[in-house]
Formats: sequence, C-alpha cells, structure tokens
Amino acid sequence: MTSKHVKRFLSMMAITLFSVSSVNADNIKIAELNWQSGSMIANIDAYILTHGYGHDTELVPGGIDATIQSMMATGSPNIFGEAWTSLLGDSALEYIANGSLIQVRDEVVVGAGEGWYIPRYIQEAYGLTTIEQVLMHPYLFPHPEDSSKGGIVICPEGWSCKKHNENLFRAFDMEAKGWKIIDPGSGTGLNAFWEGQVVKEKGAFGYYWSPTVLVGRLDLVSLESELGFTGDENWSNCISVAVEECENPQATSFPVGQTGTIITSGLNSEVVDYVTARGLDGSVITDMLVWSDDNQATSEDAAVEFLNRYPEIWTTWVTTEAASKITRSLQ
Amino acid sequence: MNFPSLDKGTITSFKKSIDATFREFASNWGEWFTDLLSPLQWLLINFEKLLLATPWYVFLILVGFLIWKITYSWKLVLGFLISFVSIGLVGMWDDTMRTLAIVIVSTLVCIVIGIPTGILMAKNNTAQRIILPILDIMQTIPSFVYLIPVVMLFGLGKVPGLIAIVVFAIPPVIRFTNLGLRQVDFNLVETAQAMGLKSKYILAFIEIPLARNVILGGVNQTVMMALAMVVIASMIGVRGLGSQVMNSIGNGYLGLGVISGLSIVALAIIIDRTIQAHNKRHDKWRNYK
Repeated sequence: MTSKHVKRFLSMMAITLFSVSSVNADNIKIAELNWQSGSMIANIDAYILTHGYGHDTELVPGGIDATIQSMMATGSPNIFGEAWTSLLGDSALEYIANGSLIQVRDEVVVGAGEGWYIPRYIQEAYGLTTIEQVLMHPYLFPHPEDSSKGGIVICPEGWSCKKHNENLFRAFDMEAKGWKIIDPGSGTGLNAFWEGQVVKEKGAFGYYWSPTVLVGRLDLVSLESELGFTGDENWSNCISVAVEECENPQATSFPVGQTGTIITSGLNSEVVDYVTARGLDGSVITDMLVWSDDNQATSEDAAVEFLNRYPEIWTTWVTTEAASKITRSLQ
Repeated sequence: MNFPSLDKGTITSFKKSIDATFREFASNWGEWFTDLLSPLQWLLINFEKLLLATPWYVFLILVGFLIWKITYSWKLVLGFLISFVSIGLVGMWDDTMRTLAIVIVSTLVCIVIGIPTGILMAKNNTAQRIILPILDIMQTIPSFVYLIPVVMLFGLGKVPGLIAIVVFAIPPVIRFTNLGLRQVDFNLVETAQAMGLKSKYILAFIEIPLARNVILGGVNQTVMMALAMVVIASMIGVRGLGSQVMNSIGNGYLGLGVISGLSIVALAIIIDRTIQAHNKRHDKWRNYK
C-alpha cells in the first residue's frame, strides 16, 4: 500500500467522521491541524470567535489532506486556518476557482517556508547574511567525514525537498566551491544534527523550515540568495524535478511558502472579515511555539498566552467591540 | 480512577532536567568524544574506500578464495559468486561494499571489546552479576532512544552509526564467550593447574581453544545483528544498503525494497554459512584425533 493509498483511506475515514459530527449546522467548525502552528492558529480562531463574537465553535482535528477532502465533500469544517496552498492538490484549487470554497488570504503566516539556515551565532560572528556569502566559507562548516570540505545538510531520502536541495547544490556550483552534501538519513537524523551542532556551538548549514520549535529554540536564521527568487519556471520545471531531468538549474532563493486560509461559502460576514484580517508574522509563531515547548503547553494554552502577550497584533483583526469582550474574558 | 501520578509540573521539570543535563554534557564533551573516536572514523572511511576501489573481479576472486580456504565447500563459493554477481547486476554493488565495510569494522570492534569482557565475566561472578543486566538493557532498549543522543554527541555519519550497531550487536559475543568458557570441562583445567600451568596459559591453550566454537557462534550472531542494524544506522546518515531500504520506504518503491532487502539477506547467509561450515570442519577434525 503506497502512502497515497493510506492518505486516501484516511481521508475517507475523516469524511465519515466529519459528516457524522456535522449535525448541528449552526456551529462554526474550525480545523485543528495536526502540526504545531496550524493547531495554535485554530485555537486562536476558536477563542476569538467564541469570546469576541459569541459564536459556537468546535475544533475538528485533521491533517491537510483529510481536512481539505472533507471540506470539498461535506462543507465541513468551515475554517482551514493555515493551508499550505502548494500542498492542497489540483482538485482543491478547482473548488477554490469555481467558488465552492473561498481562499481569503495568501499569507496567514508571513515568512513561512523552507530554506537554508545557519545558527545566529555563526551569522553574527562572521557577518554572513546571504547564501553566496556562506558558500565562500566552507571551512566554517566542516563536513563530518571530510574536514577539507564544507558540509551542507539536506533533506532525507523520500522527502520531495531532497530534489530541490540536490538541484540547488548544482545550481550554486557548490562542489567546485569545496562543498559536500551531508545526508541526514531521516527526519530524526536531521533534527539531531541541528541540535547537536548548536549545542556544541559548531558550524551548521543546511535545510530546515519554519515556523518550527527547532528554528526558534536553536535560533536559526534563514538565508536568501543574492539573486532572490528567480522565477517559477526555473523552480517548478528544473529545481523541483529529478536531478537527471534538470539540465541547467539556476541559483535561486527558496520560494515563500503560500499559506492561505480556506473557508466554506455562506459564513457569517463578521467571521469572514475576521479571517481576512488575521495574519501572523512567522517570528511571533516561533516565539509562541518555543513558549509551548518550554512549558509543555497545549495549543489551547498557547492561544491564550498569545492573546495575553500580543494584544497589539490581534486587536487589529477584530472590531473594537469584540476586542473589549475578548480582553474582558482573558482577565 | 487515575493512578496518583506526580503532578504535571514535576514530571515536566524532571524530563527537562534530563534534557538540560545531556545538552550540557554534549556541549562540554562532544568534541572530546569525537576526537577520541577519530581513529575509528579514519578506519571506517578508508576501509570503505578500499572496498569501493577494489575492482569487482579482484573482490570476487579474493573473497571466493578466502571462503574456499575456510570451508572447502564448492557449493558455498558458488553461492557467493552467484549472489554477488546478481547484486552487481542490479546495481547494488557499491552500497553492498559500504554495508560490508561498516559491518566488518563493527564486528571487529565487538570482538575486541566483547571477548575480553566475556572472559572477565567467566572468571568473576561479581562481574557477571553486574554485566548481565547491562546486556539485557542493550538488547531490549529501542535503538531510537539512544540514536538522538548519539548523533548530538558525534554528529551525523559513520561513527554514530557504528556505535548504534555495536550497542545492539555486542551482547551475543559477550554472552557466548562467557558461556563457552564456563562450559569447559573443569577436570581439564584442574589437571593443568596440578601440573603447574599458570592461569593465563590455561586460558590461552586450554579454555579458549575448547570454547572456540561457542565463541565463534557468538561472533556469528553478532554479525547477523550488525546486518540487521544497518537499516537503523542509515537513519543517521550511514550510506549503504540500509539507505536504499529507507529510500524505498520513503518513496513507496517496492522493487527497490525487495532488491536491497535481499542483498542484505545474501550477505547474511554467506557470512553465516561460512562460519558454520568452518565450525563443522573444526569439529570433525577434533573428533578424528
């Protein structure tokens, strides 16, 4: 059974579960996504809609596939807070194009996405702010098995980003500049690599993504290419395909992750206004994820902590009346 | 009724203090440990380079001859040639060499540490009482638990992979050495003692030769367990057949999984049969005397 089958099976299961639970049609159902930031945003939505606007809300757990499949099939859940548009699949995009589902934002998490990272202490010590500058100093990032070369850690086997990394390695002509790939072997290996290098305050350079606890806790900074993002054509037709099929890759930054909010049609207009206004900077989310990790807090705790800590952010999303109700409920 | 567990805050701070202690340890000692094991890293890298640089026909002739000298079994040599030629034909040669390199070095490390430890256990009951539970832990603790700390200490690559393999694969060679020495007929030892032989000579000329087949059985088990661990080791960046298995799992490539899995099986069977045939021959020779 391939992972596709598993996913399909899970989404079917999810549809069945969701349709059973969608008896009370007045509830606003919010997809509580199964990753850290997605689940926190869902909890913030639930708190604000409940306490600020007096709606009944219900959190519905699910992943990307299960949630979007269920929204297409049954119109529930109603709000999909942090939807990575590149991962939604074509049929979902069709639903959005023909108006059955509505995408209200394209940057819910500002600055989300994958990229090449270095720890901040390295950046500050050597003033390295772009990928090109890092590539000139391979000796700061010695490869574990060949210290005459610089090492860049990439995605493990089986992740689609492995192709991106391998093609970018060629695009930046890194072999000639004295670099070698470090294969982390698995997601576990990738995490442990970053943890270990940062704990020992050694050089580390390579792939990760944000917003994540790891980026926040280890204080990693993402680097851009001096060329910026050099176009979809290069990215989707060369960088994203297998190495043999990409003859002439061009150096580029990673594209910014598109995170939309997707809602079902027919929601109350004040709800639509709220989700349209709602967006968060990646650094704020990272901050909250580190807080949750330090306190082993649930996403619900994190949502309340966010509302207490950043009133200047969320009060711009809601009406003054709702804002004062929420403030009162927090006390 | 819920079990009256400690409150959440206490458990959390307990877990976090373990984390913090280990991070502190890794940051103070990580470099030191890495330097300490750098000779092993050198050995691993260069042995792999040597195997990869050896032309395939030279490898087939040399190892085929070696198996023949050990076993005198044409069947086994033929089986070896057929399976390795098939491995080469399906494009797994280089990965098989990488796996062979790390398995051989791991086994050597296991033997060098394991046999003296086994001797110590056989000679000293207190040592046996202390070491046996440690071996139990090493064999049963899920390897994922120590994979992350090992990588935090040593970084990604061959050395942490080797450590993960050795932790899992060393118990049989220790246990079998202990068992083999304890099974040696005490009358023989006593006779030697009565004739004034020093205990180190008794060990070298009477006990170890008599326990030899049992010890080799332990070595055989160790090799098998090391091979079983190559897939886990590939999770922390050890390239070889294990990373092909991971690749096939990650992408859902059934064919690649079967090919790389069977290559591991082929390696295992050849090594196992070689050691067993050697033991059998040795037994026969002893019975003739």
